[in-house]
Amino acid sequence: MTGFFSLLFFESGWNVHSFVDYGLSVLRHRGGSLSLICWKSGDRVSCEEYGNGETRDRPRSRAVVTALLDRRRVDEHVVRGDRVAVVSDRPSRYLGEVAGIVEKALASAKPHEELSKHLRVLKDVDVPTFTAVSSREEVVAWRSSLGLTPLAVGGYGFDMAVTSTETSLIEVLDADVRRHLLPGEGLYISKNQVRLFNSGSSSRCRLCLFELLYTARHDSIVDGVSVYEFRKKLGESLGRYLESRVDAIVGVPETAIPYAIGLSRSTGVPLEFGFVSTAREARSMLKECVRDRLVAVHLKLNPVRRVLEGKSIAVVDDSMVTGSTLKTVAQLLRYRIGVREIHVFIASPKLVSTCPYGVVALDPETLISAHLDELSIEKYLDVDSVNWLRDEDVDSVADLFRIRLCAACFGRDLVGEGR
Amino acid sequence: MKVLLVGSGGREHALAKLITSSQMSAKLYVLSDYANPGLMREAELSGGKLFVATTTFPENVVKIAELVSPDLVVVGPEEPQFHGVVDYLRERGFYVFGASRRCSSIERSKVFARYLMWKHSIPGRLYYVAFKSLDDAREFVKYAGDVVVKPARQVGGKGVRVIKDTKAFLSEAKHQVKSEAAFKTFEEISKYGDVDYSVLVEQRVDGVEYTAQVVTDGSYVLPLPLVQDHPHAYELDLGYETGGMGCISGPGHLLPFIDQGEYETTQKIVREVLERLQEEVKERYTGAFAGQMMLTGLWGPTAIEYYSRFGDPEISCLLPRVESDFLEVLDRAARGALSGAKVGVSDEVVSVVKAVAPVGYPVSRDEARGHPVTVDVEKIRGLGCEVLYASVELGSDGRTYTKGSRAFEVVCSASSYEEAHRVSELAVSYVTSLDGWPLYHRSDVGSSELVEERIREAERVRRVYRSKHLRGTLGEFFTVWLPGRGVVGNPLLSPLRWEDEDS
Repeated sequence: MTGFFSLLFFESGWNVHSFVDYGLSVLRHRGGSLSLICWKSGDRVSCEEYGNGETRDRPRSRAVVTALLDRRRVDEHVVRGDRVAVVSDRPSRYLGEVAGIVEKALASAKPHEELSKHLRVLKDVDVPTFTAVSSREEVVAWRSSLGLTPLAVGGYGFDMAVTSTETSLIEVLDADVRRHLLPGEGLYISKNQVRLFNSGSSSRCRLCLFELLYTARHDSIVDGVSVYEFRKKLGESLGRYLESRVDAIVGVPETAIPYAIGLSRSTGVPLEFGFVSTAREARSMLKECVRDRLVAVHLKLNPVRRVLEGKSIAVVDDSMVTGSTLKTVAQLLRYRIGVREIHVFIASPKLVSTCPYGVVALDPETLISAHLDELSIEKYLDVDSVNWLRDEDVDSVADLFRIRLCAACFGRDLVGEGR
Repeated sequence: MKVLLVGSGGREHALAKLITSSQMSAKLYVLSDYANPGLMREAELSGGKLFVATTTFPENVVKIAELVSPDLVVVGPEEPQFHGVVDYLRERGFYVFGASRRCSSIERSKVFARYLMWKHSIPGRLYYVAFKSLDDAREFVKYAGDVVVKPARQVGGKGVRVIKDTKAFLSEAKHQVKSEAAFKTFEEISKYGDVDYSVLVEQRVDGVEYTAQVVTDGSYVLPLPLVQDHPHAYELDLGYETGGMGCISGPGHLLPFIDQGEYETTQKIVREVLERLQEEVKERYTGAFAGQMMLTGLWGPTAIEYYSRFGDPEISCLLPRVESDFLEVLDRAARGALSGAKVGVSDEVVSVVKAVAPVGYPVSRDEARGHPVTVDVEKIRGLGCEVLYASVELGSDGRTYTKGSRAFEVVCSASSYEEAHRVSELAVSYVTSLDGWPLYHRSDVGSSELVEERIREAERVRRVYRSKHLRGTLGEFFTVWLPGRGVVGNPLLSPLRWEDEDS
């Protein structure tokens, strides 16, 4: 998973570096190992890894695009020409074409009209959400006509405009969230003009369930939906699968906490903080190799011993990918703490497929639910039961928040079905 | 009745329409800084004439007044007031609607306006500090926190820098910007030389802005419906401060996000300022007066600044809503006989005004200037809207050219914002440039989406000020408790810089 943001300072005199630094820290939880910055350099655009001494000494630029990307797939995320650099939030083979459209549009008198016209032609093609910066210090941010990933706009006084994958970034940068862009909607920003444009949404447009489930921060709002509230509601829905008597509910840090709160709320079973993390921003699933993933899991899981000892525990997590996090948790609880029973509650259906849109990098070979049946998973994890949400549970929560979700990786390619 | 209108832009065009639609069969003469084709047409249709001369030279204005010998002179903009045009005319026996030089100091000097509010403990006042020298301003800014840096003089509604500073980790970058803003402001103000102070540093507040306009003859105050202006240049409230890219008004005297109690508090503030101002300057205030207000968590209704005239484009918003004879109101105010006058307003009708500007406004005016533009007035009227000519002038080839500021205002009204917004967007499409130079406007002004956003924002600040009211802390702000030194109650100071000073 990746994320990006763009900044355009209308007024001069701003040093962009602290904004870039803190913006990147906000997006770090989304995974992505490469911090990339694109901005004007001389009379062209340059993109480079951010953070070394050299990038910091650069003269000030009015407009910047910054992204956290998967280092291994950077070529599918970025197209850089002399005049325009385009960065997308998921890998795409259409980026070259997009860069051509953007470059031509920015050379015209009415960039927003040109962008709208040419992106409209690609309405039913899977063009990802992107942001672009030009050598004339213009920014374009456009949300895929399929939706899938979010994009929000914010403002700071009379001085700055910001677009971002997450609203929490806008708030952390002391700016105010103006609104989210709709699928197919874009924004052209320069010193002399800000124009909204709309190239039309696809009838198949949906929001990635994984964004709400795992990727976004609890404090973000995605398409008007509070991520925290959404997670709590899914957690509440888990209550109907609680059949055994349990003494306490614990969530796997950090993402699973709102789900655990929801489950506790709907069942009346007390919620306990069962683990203390040693590393911050330990997003284990997003680590690119097994070793890193285990290091992250181990670092975020020091148990609070007395809360759990001798009890029957419901362990809540947002999803089960390889099962290795839950396996670690189960081992800890069973062998080191000595709990009586372990019941696992997963706040999503079974992950069975890779993401056809490249939003989430899932290797189908490593998805445990795609390869083992429930009984085998229980045995492997060494737990007393494993419970998943069903499709209809997710659908009713989605209805509650009036959003349409893509659940392709959960075996329901609702975007593709519309084809 | 002969009326001489002084001023050149969209506000004057709105006034011209209000004046010429009077039952008093007005013959309108206009003295304008440039040949505004809209004003020219209004004058000629009424049997009058447009004169071009610099409106800030009192001699020019008096010369034309003596030529026309009007029954009433209406001075629209603030700069002629600041230059004593109104006084000059009154000394020569003309009836004038407009603030005298001394009365207009409530707008000219933002420091005076603040001082007046503090001197008389008028609610809705903000903390401020003003500087005459750049060094003092820069020294102070070192310790400044969450503040607004403003020019101490009115400079066409521009130059304000809102430097929100609520996150310590970004404070360093903001400190730099504040210092540069103080420098730029100082440079700008030194061109004028009619105010003591240059730089005003003011407590930053946020909330929902609105304008409360009134007409007064010095004793009787006649409130007009509230209007909300949109100062950001671009869509979604992004970008530079402008004189206003559009406004909304109605239903009734309120706005969808201001309640009756807040309206009354606002009127009380405006009345009290008018009263104290007249005491202070020892002159009668005759003309339009407006409070640029904001509903804030600190106070509820809060004064950001004052206008000694009608707002531009705020007055345009009232054009389709005023039902009674507005010229009669202006005339009675000028003659000190306003008592008992009323302005009838169509309560059920709301209005949406959109300014159309050439790209380049407000910061690259040279680029924005000199483009031929055209308006399909009939098509716009066909939609039930009006178009007002603002910063445009008649070229020698008979075409209309942009002058670099907001070129036109489209004025629409309907029974709902949804409908007024819809037609305003259509109306705007009939304003076009003839040389391909892009024009822009804000499509979000008047949209239900934006109105609803303002309602939510107002609800947020309403919870804050009501709670402060109950706890008796309205207007008070506590910056930081420094052990051993107590609570610092000066919201202009940054808690960070105080620490720095200690170490």
